[in-house]
Amino acid sequence: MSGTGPVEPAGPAETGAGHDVIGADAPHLGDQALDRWRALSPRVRGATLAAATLTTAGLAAVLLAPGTGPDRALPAAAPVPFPANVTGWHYLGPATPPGPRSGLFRFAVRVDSGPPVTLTVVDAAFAGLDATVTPEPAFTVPAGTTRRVTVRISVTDCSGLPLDADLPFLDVTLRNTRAIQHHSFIFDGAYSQDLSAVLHRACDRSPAPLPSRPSGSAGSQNAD
Amino acid sequence: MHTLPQQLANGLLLGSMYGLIAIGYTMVYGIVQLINFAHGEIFMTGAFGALTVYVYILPDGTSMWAAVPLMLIGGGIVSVLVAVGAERFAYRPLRQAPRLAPLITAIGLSLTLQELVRNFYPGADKSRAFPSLDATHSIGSVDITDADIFLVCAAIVCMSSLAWFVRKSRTGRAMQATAQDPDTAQLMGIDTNRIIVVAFAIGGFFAAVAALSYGLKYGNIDYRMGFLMGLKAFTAAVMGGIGNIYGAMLGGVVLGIAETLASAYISNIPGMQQLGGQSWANVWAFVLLILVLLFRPQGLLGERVADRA
Amino acid sequence: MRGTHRLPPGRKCLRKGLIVRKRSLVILTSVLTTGALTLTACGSRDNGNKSGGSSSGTTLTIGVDAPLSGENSTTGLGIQYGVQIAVDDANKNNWVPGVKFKVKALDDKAQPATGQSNATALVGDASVVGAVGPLNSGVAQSMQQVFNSANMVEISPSNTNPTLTQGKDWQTNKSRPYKTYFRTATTDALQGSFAADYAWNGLKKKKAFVVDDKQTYGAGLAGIFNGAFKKLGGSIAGTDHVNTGDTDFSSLVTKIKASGADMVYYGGQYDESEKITKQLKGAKVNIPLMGGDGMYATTYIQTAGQAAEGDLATSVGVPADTLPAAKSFIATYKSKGYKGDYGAYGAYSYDAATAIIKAVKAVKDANGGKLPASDQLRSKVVDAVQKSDFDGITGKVSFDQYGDTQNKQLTVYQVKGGKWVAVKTGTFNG
Repeated sequence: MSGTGPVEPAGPAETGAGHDVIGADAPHLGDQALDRWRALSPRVRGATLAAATLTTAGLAAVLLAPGTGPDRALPAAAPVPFPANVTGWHYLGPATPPGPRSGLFRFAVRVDSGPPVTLTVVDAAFAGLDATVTPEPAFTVPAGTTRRVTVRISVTDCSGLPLDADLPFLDVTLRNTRAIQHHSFIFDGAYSQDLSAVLHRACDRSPAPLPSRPSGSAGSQNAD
Repeated sequence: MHTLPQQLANGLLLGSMYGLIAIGYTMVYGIVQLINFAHGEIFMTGAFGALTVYVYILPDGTSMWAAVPLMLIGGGIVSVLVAVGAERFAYRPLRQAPRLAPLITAIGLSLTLQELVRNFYPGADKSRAFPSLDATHSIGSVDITDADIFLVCAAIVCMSSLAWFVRKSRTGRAMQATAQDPDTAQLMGIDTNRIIVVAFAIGGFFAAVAALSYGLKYGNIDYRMGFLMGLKAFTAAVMGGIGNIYGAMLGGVVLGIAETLASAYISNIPGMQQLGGQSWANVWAFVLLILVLLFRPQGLLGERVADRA
Repeated sequence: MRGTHRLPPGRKCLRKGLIVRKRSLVILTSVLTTGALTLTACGSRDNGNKSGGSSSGTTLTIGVDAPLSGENSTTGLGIQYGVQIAVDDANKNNWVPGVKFKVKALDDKAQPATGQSNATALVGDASVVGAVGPLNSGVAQSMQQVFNSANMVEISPSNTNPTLTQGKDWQTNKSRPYKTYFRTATTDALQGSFAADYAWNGLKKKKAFVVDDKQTYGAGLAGIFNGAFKKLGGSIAGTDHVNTGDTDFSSLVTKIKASGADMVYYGGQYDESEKITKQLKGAKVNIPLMGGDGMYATTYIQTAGQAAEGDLATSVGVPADTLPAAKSFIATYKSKGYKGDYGAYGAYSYDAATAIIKAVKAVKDANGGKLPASDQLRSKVVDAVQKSDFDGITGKVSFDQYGDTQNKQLTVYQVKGGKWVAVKTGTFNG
């Protein structure tokens, strides 16, 4: 449809068997299963339903009972989670020394369960910013562990760059045996202030003339 | 202000729809002095009648040239049957009752019709898709769709046939007589019951025309659509002078244009930003109604009592 | 009530003599009706009361309040049946030994006053231990006080307005107004900014026209989007407000067209936005309409048809398809043939009901295996819900000090080929 911007491309060449790309085929799975389900005879359906119920019950008992260990204990029964649903990022603070047009930010990346997740930082929210994890661009975090990483964010173009965004985020590609997902991790508070400081340092004294970016509400007639 | 012609067209189209529905209020009031609050629901059943023809009767892929007249017939039949049925079974038994009784009946009937459609028409509890005619034509700076053309043509044809019918035909003149003085008219040999049924039927058919235009224009209908449209059409009828058929159409058009212009431009007046926009359109429409009633209590065309029909 | 009409005193007189009086009657009627009708705005509809008789053993009721008929009912029914499935699972698997649960679902018609009276009814029913709902933030405002006075837990799967948990001054000074109110959905403070980010970075849109429905949810969300979009450098081509229940948006469409906006952001529910997008595309204004979780429903696509193609909605949570634990939930929902749409909030309703059920179990276990008396039970369940920490079908279920979920995930969906397709997901890490 015209007027609609590009959608993020699906994952790189690794998209092979065993990987789902989010949104590519997931909606169809349910429907096909449902059709197949309808084709079964009532007796088979009943049996399957009973079996499914028992499995669900067992699963629920395992998952919900307090004190049960991680679901690795029952690898056959536990569903493999999508990487975005088990991965958490927490901002720790800035790292020194920052460059004139870049900053270093320390994060703790934790994976709660499932197979190891491989992460690649793709983007830092805005066109005009580059983000890379140092020293290696891609890293793997096994379940149940936390890994500390440093992300270098450098300013490549100040024009049109919002210097004081409230909720800046990191675009990350996550990959495990279940799926490849492009996911944003959004931060507020300390990270947004620290990022702002870097952007101001890079762009406020930038020799390149700043374009007349609409600052705040200029040119708007909003009433809210 | 370069959008003014387009906004006037928007208002005229909305107003024509109000006017077509308002005819039903005004004709019934003119003859039996009853405000038929179920008329909005008669409009709504007309839309579902038309949809039934399209979805359940016509084969898939019927050309809209063939479908629209058939849908009009289907919607018309349903609306006329509901309107005449309401008259026969809900209002006629109460003809001699205190005025409050038919009014309450009308309210009850309106809720009954809504609930019947909601509960028994498949999928009517939420918006149902209606075939829309949305091919757009540009006339100067004004864009209008096929549905808009249908609405304007239908409104003109309906109004002129009604004018001719009331002035020239035997039944029409009998209607005028009944409106002036039902008792005397009856003494002169006019079957007033028949005239009342005709008034309800005409109102119902016009509502069906409006309902079909509504569906073709907005592309969806639901069981609540009659409520607000009925309310606005009643306002239009009062504004134009209730009992006067030309007043109903004029009132509809004035109301539609007022609403549209208020929604479009009031927020541009300095200091009025908070009082403009789409959400205030109804408020300005009713402010206009109050002003009209303050200065011309009989409505815009209300003094032409002889034309009441 | 559609208006009042006074019996004229001299009805026996000839009709002609009454013309003047009739006129004043018409005026009176019209003024009264227009006034009364604009205020009430809706006819009456029945409510889907599902209370049943009591069975042997202890039976506790989980109340549900959501719009089950008319406006918003597609998503509202998704909440009702999400809770139903959770309760069925709890009974089938005997999650709380000796205690059976049942659902009492009340229809609030998306109206605050109805929600409030439903809350009163639920509080008055001694068997009700907690409630899931409502759908609409505006309705929630009228219900929170009622549940709070009764010390009864209320968990909404869908309310996103920040003030409900963080108080009126949430931007500067967060303070929790009601300790009995929780939600499994995250807030519009995140959702509005996430939408603005996607509009600016993903869609590369520069001029947005912002419309809202003046409701607590819609106006709040649109305001947050507006602020965030401007902060990113975008401009606002114009703003407007609509009424819920409006059908003709031609004037608004002409304004949007003249403003030169390259996208429309709508804060509100699918009932209006599906009509706006249809009329927008009908007038050859081919710019996408974007909204929040209130328009993430299959009905939006069914009604708007081709016009919906390319439109976007953010929603709270991640797509249900990516939650392996939710698979059996979806299968059950489909196989039971439940009405409504589980997509937006069904799984979150399941987890909300599960949180209440688990809280009952925790209270019972802490009390030596017996349920405390009903007045104590309710307040103890509130405390137990606050301490919730379990893996639900939407992920980890736990609440922060404001009653907000700790699981703050968001998704941008776009209509592609007549289906909502996830195009971006994000997690907030405070």
